[in-house]
Amino acid sequence: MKTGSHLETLLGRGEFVATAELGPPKSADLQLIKQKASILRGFVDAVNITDNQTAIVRVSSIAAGKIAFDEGLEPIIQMTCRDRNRLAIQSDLLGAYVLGLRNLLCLSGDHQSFGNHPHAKNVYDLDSIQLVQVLKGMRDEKIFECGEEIRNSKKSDILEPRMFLGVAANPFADPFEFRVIRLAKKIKAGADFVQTQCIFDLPKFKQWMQMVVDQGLHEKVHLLAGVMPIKSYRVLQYMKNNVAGMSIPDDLIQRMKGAEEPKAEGVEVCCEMIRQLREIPGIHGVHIMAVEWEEIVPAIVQKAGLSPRPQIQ
Amino acid sequence: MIIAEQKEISEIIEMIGDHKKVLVIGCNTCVTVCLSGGAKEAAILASALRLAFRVRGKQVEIEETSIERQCELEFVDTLSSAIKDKELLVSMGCGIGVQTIAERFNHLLVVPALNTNFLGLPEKQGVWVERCQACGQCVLDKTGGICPISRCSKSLLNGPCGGSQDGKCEINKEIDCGWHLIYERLKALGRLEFLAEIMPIKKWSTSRDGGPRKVVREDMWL
Amino acid sequence: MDFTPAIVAFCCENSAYRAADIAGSKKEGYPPNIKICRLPCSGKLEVIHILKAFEEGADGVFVFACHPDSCRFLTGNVRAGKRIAYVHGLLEKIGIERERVEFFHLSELEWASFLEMVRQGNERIKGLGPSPAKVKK
Repeated sequence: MKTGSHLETLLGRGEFVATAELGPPKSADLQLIKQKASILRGFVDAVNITDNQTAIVRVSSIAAGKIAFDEGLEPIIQMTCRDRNRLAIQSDLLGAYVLGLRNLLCLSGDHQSFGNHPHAKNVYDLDSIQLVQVLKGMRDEKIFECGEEIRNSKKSDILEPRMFLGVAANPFADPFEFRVIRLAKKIKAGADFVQTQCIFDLPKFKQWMQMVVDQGLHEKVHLLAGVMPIKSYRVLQYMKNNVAGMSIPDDLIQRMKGAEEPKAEGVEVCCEMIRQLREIPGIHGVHIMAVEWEEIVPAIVQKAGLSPRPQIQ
Repeated sequence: MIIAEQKEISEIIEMIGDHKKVLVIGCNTCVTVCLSGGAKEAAILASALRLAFRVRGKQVEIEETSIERQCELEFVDTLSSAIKDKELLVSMGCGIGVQTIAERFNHLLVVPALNTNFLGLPEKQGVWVERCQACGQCVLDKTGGICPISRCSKSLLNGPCGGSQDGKCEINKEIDCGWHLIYERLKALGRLEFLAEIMPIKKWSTSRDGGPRKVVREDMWL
Repeated sequence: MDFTPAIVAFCCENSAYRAADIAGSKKEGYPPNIKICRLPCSGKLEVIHILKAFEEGADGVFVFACHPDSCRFLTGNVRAGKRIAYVHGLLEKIGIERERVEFFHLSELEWASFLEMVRQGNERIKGLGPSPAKVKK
């Protein structure tokens, strides 16, 4: 056991985990964070707290994560490379750890031109792979990136932050055949778990999983498959046209278009996907990205047969 | 080479303000190649400025000249007589040229007619693209001759990120994904093994981040 | 207002210059305030030539080129068109009406068209009045 985090414990026990996402508010809205946390509490094993997602300023992941933690959730903090240099990264990591947070997802981060502050200076002091290396080094070698030991002074105890480290993987971005090589690099760097981009194209995902299994990577890391419940076909259309790195089959768009009750259909599509992903060897859980639709997560968890969630004594 | 673009003429007119004797100085090197600040452009700008001030009913004497390179003092020195009676110099050089002239003739106000953009080359006539960030730690041997610092929007060393699609960058479909290019080049060269290793964390201190830089070759001192 | 504009007509020698020559020999001829400037090809025209014409006191500048696809040097008239478009933009920014620079296409036989174009152009420039960049005495 590397960190003792709830997520690590469940995965270590061979449980099929369910994680979800909580998007912090764009204002100093403490109540909203608490409200979203209360919706998700008890239905999933851990919750990603996004970090200025799509480069739009929101309450920081660590701050919102601490509040969610106090509300009874197991947070997965997200950290992008876009907004922080290596000092801020290591400092924030120590901060997250002393606040009691134990899981962290390492991301490159959407370019700031996507968001509401496109003229900002971007940082990218490290990339996501180097980020994993640094955080793993802090945990296992107990040193900072500069090589110094993590202790107050030569006489003090070493007090290293022990985070369970996750990375993102996108089976649908290009170049397709290189994606698995890059995943291997992330695992080599020290990733403990992987959350994939949301899956709509099951055949293509299975192709990618085959390459993952061929390389034996499914045994070196815990893979969580990403899903996203869709409210209407327009969302799919938008993503198909405007979001890079996604594969959305036309027949799915047609199915959503023809649905009498799009939201219910969207939930059904999501649950079907979860059931199918559960059958794939090497998949150790699902990551439910109900973006700005956190209320639907309990229904999905129940309908997909993921309820009740396992408890730890 | 250095790529630069002319500022809007309204901005240059404002910079000249109430000065009455102005010299427009072109540069015959980089900015000539990127068609923004050479002798030809200096003549056009000077003529346009003369016309503009006449339209505004202002009496301004605007002359033009051009030197080989504004970034070398031996060429800047040749301006000594031309600047004698001038009140303001408009440099059509890159930022280096403007500063060199300003330092050499520090009793005069020197203003930039151009915005210096980047280090790059002409992809074809009329299109200039960025290629180098002058980071001080070249890794082109490991990336098939394609720079990840300048051609990846995030300057990743272990790219591509998840936003690479159809060989294009997530921020703009007209921008090639630098890492896609690197991957294809190394594949064609049969050298994909370069991508299997994790590229180590960059020392940004050799780049602008470490402060203004200097290179010294004592063996070359006279 | 009785104003005779000073107009420079840059004429490509493979087309308009010859047409102008013939037109000039006709009874009516073209207005005497039009100064013809011969070019080996309209593609030889540079932006600076047009600007200098205005500096020297021109109220209008006409550029005559061969018809599209008929340039003896293949793309001279295309280059001329691009430079004139650039000048139009520049003039607007400095406060001179872009209509003072006009671009015409002619072949060497069309002397009657030359006369018409030049006369009508002359009227248009008259209507614009003296160039705002003329040195005020």
